[in-house]
Amino acid sequence: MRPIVGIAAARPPRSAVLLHLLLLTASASPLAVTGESEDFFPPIPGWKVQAESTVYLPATLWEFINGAADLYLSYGFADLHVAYYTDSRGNEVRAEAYRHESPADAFGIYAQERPPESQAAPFGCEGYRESSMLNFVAGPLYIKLSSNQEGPEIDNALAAVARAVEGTHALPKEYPEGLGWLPKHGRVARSEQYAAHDHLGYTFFRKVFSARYGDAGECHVFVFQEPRAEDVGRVLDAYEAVAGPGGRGENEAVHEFRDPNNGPVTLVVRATKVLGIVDCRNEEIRKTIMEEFLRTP
Amino acid sequence: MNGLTRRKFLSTTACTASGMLLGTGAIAHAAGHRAGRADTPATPITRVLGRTGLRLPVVSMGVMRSDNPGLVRAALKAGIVHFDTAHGYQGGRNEEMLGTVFADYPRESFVVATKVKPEDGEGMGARKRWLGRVDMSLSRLAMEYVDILYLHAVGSPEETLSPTMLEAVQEAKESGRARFVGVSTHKNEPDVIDAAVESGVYDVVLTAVNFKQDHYTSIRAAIERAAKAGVGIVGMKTMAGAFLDKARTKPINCKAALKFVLQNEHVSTTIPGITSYPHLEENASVNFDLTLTEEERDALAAARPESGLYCQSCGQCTAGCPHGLPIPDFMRAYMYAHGYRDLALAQELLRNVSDRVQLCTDCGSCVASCVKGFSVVERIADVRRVLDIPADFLA
Repeated sequence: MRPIVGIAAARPPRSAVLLHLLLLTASASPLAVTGESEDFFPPIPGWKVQAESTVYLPATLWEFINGAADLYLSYGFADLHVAYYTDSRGNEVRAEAYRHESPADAFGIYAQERPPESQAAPFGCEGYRESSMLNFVAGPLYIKLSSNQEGPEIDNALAAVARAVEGTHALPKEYPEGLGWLPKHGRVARSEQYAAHDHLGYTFFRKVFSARYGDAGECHVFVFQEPRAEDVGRVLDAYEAVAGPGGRGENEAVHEFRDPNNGPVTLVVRATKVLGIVDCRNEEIRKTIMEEFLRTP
Repeated sequence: MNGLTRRKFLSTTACTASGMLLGTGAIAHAAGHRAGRADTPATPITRVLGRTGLRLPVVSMGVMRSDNPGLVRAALKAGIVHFDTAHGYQGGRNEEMLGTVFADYPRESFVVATKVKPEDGEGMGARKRWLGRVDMSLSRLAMEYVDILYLHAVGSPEETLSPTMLEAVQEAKESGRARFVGVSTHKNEPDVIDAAVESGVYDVVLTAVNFKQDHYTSIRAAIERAAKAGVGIVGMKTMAGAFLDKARTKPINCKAALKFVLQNEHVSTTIPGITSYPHLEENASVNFDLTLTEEERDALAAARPESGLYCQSCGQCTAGCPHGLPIPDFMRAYMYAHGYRDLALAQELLRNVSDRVQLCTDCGSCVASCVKGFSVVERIADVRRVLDIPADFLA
């Protein structure tokens, strides 16, 4: 993958080196080094591309997306490049590349915004399109393409930009690792989410991947990993403090809780990974999910 | 949707424009467990939301970042009655989640606000498209009407006074889709608030307001003007980001931040985002006690200067400089270099004052101090090096 380095504004490469030197010798800066917007957004046939000289950072993201900035910041937003594609007829496509701290964070904000009923778009690890819009997530990048015109020509342009960006940067197509911990059987397609904090309203459920299961998506299942087995124990203790002692099923790995806020919750522990099933009354699905989770190496 | 059905529905509910939202007893009952004495239920502090007549507890719930129905139910149990969502939150799932929760509660027992972004373009087409999205929101919420419908994220008087959008919000109200209409803003707040008042159409303004805003005084004055005109004010972004640093290691005292905003009686209620039960409990407690303790005041004072890179050009530092240097210009150059990565712009700015930069670095007796806590001398020394970069390197 071509590394994203250098200066953010549309400047020649020499200034990129200079900025690196300036920053390296400067007092500690909290800012990450970002790429040149013009290089990031490659041209496509029949369209000109003009990058914005400003690269938006956490402190200035609100200038571009207003109040929505809070949500992006909660998902480890690092920087945003913006460019505009125009054709000879005055059609315009706006391209936004949000870089986040991790693929999980990028997926998290993408999934937050993904409408439940949307047409899949084959870019990155996942994407969707709606009228005049195409969004996808690839690695730590969340790419948003939009136009204020519509029609087949615009749809083609959106896809062309997506292909060009994906190809130029050899963007990864794999989902974030944690999504692979969720059982596959019975999962509702495109229901996956990622919560960096406060899943189910609890501070101890962090960095959680979740999805819906069952024909009607009636079961909410989540999974997370702690660094060590003793950390899992601490999470269980914290949950017991809220939900009371967890009953143990036939399998020692299974802990049943009566959560006063979320109803019956089952936690299944496998080494440092924990699977949660929330208020799922479909016994068959519960059993299948638990078995698959415990079976997976 | 059938407008007559909505109007008839509204006319038969107990919730009139001049009436109480809930019997005080209901709120008191919900919060009774908070009282120190079993025989005296705690009564939340409530304020009337301008001419809407809605009497609301001063702390409500911003639902944007929560997809947890359990948290919403817990908030209702804690005495919170007003919930704020938007058409665009979580791809529509946020409204759907609220609809699922509220299906179990009497309609008059809660107040829900949603927001729909202004439509591009003018005329009937734009108006219809906007109302179409309002209808989609109502469908997701499974409600005939919302209590407050905002034009979402308006950033200028022009947007606020757009003839097409004014017609749209009026139609939303007249058709019964919304009891009251408003605008929400986090940009140019004083101007947007004044424009909303000027329009004579909006009943409510949802505005960003917090202790860290440098233009807080202007916002406060605009809020007062709005209140005098009968426009209700709801405060948001009261936590100023909740953390002072990106790594989330320096939390802001959120309870203090909330209380600070609510010291202003013209702010009828606030909608802090709540994503965890401890956070809910902390926020809801402010419904019963607005007193800012000395410790809380100190916490806000300490947090206020913490910022990052961005000089607000207030000019207060220049008084402390023995050479009367244009320190804000140097700070701006620093921002261009490190914030915007625009070395050429930084250099251009510094070139205009290059001889004066030298006065600074040769001085050694700096007493200039920045109200936001920037290290003036260090930053000038840092950005001064940009002057040494050959111009054609930056062309």
